Amino acid sequence: MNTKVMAVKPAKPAKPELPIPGRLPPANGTTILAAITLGLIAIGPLFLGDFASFVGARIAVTAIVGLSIVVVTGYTGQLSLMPYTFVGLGVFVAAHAITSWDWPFWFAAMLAAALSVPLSLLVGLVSVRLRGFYFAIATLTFASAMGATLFSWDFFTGGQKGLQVDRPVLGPIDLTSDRAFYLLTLVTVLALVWMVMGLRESRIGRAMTSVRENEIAAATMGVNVMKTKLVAFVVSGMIATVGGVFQGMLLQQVTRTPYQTPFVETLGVTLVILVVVGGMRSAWGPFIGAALIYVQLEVFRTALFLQYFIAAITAAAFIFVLLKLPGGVAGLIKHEAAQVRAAPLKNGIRVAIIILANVAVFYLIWELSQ
Amino acid sequence: MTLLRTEGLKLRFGGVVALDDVSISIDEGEIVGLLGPNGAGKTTLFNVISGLLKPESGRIELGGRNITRALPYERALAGLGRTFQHIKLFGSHTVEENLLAAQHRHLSSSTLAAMLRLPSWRRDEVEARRRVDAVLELINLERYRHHRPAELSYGTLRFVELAAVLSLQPRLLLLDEPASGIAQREAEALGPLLREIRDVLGCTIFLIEHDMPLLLSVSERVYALDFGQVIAEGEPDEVTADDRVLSSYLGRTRRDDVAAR
Amino acid sequence: MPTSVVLQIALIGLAKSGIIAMLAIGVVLIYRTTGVVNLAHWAIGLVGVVTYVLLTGETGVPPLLAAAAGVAVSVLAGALAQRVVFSRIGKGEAVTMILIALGVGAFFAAVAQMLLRGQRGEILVAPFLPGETIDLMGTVISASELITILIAVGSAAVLLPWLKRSRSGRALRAVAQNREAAQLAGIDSARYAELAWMIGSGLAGLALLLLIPHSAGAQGGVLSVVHLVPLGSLLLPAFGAALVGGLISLPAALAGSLIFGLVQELLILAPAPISDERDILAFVAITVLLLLRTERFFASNAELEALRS
Repeated sequence: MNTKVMAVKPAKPAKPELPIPGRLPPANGTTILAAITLGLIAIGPLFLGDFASFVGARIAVTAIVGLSIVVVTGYTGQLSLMPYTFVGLGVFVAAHAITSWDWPFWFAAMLAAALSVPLSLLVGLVSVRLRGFYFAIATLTFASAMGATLFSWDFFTGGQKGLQVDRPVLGPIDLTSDRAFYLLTLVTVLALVWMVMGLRESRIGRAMTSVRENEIAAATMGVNVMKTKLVAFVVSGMIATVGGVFQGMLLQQVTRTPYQTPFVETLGVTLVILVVVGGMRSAWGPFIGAALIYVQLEVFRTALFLQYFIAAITAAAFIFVLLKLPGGVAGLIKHEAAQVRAAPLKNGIRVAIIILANVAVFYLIWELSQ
Repeated sequence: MTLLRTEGLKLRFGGVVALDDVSISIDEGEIVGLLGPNGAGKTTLFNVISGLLKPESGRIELGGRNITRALPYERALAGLGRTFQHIKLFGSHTVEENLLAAQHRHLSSSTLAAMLRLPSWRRDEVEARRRVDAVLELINLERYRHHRPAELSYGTLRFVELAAVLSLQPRLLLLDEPASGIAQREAEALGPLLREIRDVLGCTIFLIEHDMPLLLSVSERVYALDFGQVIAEGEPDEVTADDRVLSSYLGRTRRDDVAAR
Repeated sequence: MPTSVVLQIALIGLAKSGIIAMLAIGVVLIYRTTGVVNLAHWAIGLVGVVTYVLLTGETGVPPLLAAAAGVAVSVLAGALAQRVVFSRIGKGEAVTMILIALGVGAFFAAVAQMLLRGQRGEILVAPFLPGETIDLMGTVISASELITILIAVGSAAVLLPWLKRSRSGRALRAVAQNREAAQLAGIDSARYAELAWMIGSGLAGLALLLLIPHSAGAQGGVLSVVHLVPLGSLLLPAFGAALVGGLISLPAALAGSLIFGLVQELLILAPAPISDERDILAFVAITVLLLLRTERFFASNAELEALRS
């Protein structure tokens, strides 16, 4: 009967430009300029040296982990407080698989992602029935339980000393230097952003956002709410675990402490904060948030007071974003870009002034802190 | 052929009887109205049919299939679409995204296919957008395609909600007061539109409506409900002439109120 | 097992229960009056502790006075959080609400660390409770534990009757039952929401201050600045205790505190697999409580509607 429906009232013949997502927009001057600028910024760390590359890699790795929050919290509207449990799983699987068993890193990443599935299914099946803070507390409880079991087992985590993770060598290509490793993480995070964007523009992605908006309305539109939450949780867990594998390779020497006490160790909270500030409903959000925060933290790494000051300011900004700016910085950029396109001269100058003022303030603080 | 059949539906809230032995039957392709005073159990019946409330006893069949125990989403996938008295659209979605989100019944690409953008995903997306085009043209909403609900008037949102549930391509469409909150001129256009929807999309319509002229002009058959019981059934003229139906309104509203209708 | 050992463990457990109870009372009070699940509870207590550490460490303020100042700062922090942030949140998504609570927590945690001027590693903290031990008929107990228990029992003994009988207490409960109705009855619900935040936050400050290590006696205890682990680790049990009462019932939350403190501590005496996995058992218990949705045992449907709205 449903096939007949389309026959009775044939749809308009396919337009030459069906709005299919995933297709690049037609290139014009502005987009080419923007692409070149972003490309230069992206490869910038390579010219700035090893340390800058290390920071770049850290941003990219954090963005990978942050993508897991985009899927489960930004899209599906469920707050998981256990992203670092999955990261920890990835970190130590990487330590065993890459260093002890001599596996290639991508194989280790696949193993880690596969191992995350039983864990997220276990947590998910128990907690998808719960909503709002009940879900959040449930994930926090599981994170604590994993901290007391998995991450306390010496054979898994190497005890107090921790474990070593080697960076990969792909045939003739040596990825052990910070610069090469940065390129690897950059490519990985871009691929994952692309994948998550595809997910968003699909049946599953729309089910996720409908569940976030209104579970009852979603159900009456044919969305299996429980299954959608579960899928989001599993996908998010796999992404975070892959992020963990890269985290391990980034740090090279890993210990269990950050994963044992998930809430107190504010890593998990910091991650949520930077994703929200960056824009948790956009696949680019974690990247933007991680870049904003880690560049500052690394620049002021010697001034501890400033670091905590930045943390306090960031937390305040986070609250502001939640109250007034649900799209985060990613949403702001999108909005401003549309404004500039509408009135290039007027709004372009305004945006340029704002950016320059920000850079100036940043530079001033940097000068003062030296 | 019977599309929807309920048998002896019964539901109580605390001591209050909300539905009392409700048995109705709707044929494929019909437009059937449901009338009754406030609190008669009309919306409760819709909630039970769409699975948001569980009846204490009774049986619901859709297209010959027993769906009494089915979950709301399973009923939607089986071809049951509904709108709400208070509009439930997805606030952060554009009109187009709202229409796309309602198409689970027709799409099948997997999570992996979407992430890797495999051909099955692409086919799904193209097909889904074609259906959006068709529905937007039918309801004449093309110009609001990229608007978000907050930017639209309440009357327009009623039509967007209708469009969303139509892109589900339901076999049975439950409309809970589709004309409430919209302008008189739009309400007058709704009758012909509902008939067109039935004729073009072939979907059966079951509606609650307080706008009596609209309900009586569009419905081919009417059920009257009071205190959770079906008190009359038949052609619009018969039912409105029925003594029990009249007294059910008179019992609770002023006489001139009914006379005005 | 000698009785004295059992008694000793029981007292340690009771002291832990007391601290959990003080945190749980705050969680319940704040949830009932404002609908906020306060994940920032720990950090609000933390600013009080940091105030104490700074005052005793640098200015030489007497420890007891510094402790009082610490509690006052926590009260202030709680009032600030309610007035500046939480009073502005309308009926929004539940997730936004929790995220904001997380953000407020992160803010106060950062402020606390900023106040410590980013010292890393461990700092010496002067105790404000006596570090002596008392020999009580063969059972050696530390005075600080005894005092902790007394303070916890004391605050519950003051708070519960006060909520039941006094004018402000009754108004607070009315707000907790139904905000709109209380407003209509002429109760300034914003003021009482703030009062609930202040009481809860003060208790959080006090609870964390009692957690400062007093064991080392006059030399003071050592606190790890970077991790602050001992201070945060009781938040989850506190939520567990509050969940026993569905985040709504204070007496049930107190009973829950006994489970997550005393009973868990006493499980040390249980046979091998149970005693080793006490922590896990606690997590399992919390998960079960979450799934039971215990609030429905303690609140009428009307109350639940009011809380959810």
